[in-house]
Amino acid sequence: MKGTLITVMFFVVGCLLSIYNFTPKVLLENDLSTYALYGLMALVGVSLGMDESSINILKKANLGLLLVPISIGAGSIIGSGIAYWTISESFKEGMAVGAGFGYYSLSSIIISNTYDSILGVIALLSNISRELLSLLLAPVLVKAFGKMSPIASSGATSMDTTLPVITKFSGKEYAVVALFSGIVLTILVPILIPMIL
Amino acid sequence: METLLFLGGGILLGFLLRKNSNWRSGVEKSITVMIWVLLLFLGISIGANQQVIDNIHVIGGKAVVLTFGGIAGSIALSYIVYRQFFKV
Repeated sequence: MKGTLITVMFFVVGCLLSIYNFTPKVLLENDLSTYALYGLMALVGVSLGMDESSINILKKANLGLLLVPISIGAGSIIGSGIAYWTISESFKEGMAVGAGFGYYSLSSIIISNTYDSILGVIALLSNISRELLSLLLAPVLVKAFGKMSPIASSGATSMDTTLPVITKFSGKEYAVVALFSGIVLTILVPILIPMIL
Repeated sequence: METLLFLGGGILLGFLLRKNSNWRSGVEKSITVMIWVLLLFLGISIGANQQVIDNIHVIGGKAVVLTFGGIAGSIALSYIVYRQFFKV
């Protein structure tokens, strides 16, 4: 939660700086953010490549466990696509925001730098609210849709920010499922969004 | 699509460097800082965009629609997996 607030603060400070014209011209005229995004993507890659523990978790997966993140990911992308299409917007753009899986920082940055900055803001707001709603609604979801549903609504965040809530309301036996699903979905965010757009 | 090349290159590099475990926390910290910098940039470009400021309620509404679509879709599809493999 504290991490979320700090991250959002940077975005808000950026908005305020340019609303009150405090932005140095150098920043607006040079497209630094594209290079920064390339650097970030390379760093994300390095951290994935170095992480042997997540590879070991992936090796242990059986069919049922493997289908958890796949169904959550597909459902999230299709659900967002359909929802966006029903308010007469682009199905593809809806799918891209849905493929953020709650990983608001990375998804909004990729979308705003490679596609459109307004859709990037939509991705930021949508994925932050996904994390917040998952934290708040976990007990309700478990009662209505079973123990898997908070893991589904949490998306990529089920490996860190929402894990404590999931363990509390779905039970300790679902902690491994939540971790596995969160790790797989986190890896998929930087791969799927550029492929969709 | 270039972003995928950088991601792939990074994964390869990380795999080759995986024995240097003391690098790991440095990489994680750099990712966090990079995300902060890029969100600051995003904020700066958004704040300068009068279209966004004037339509923030529309943008927020779209975001909420996408959130509910994503949550509903993911719960629906994973429910099938839950019934088949998990629920006793």
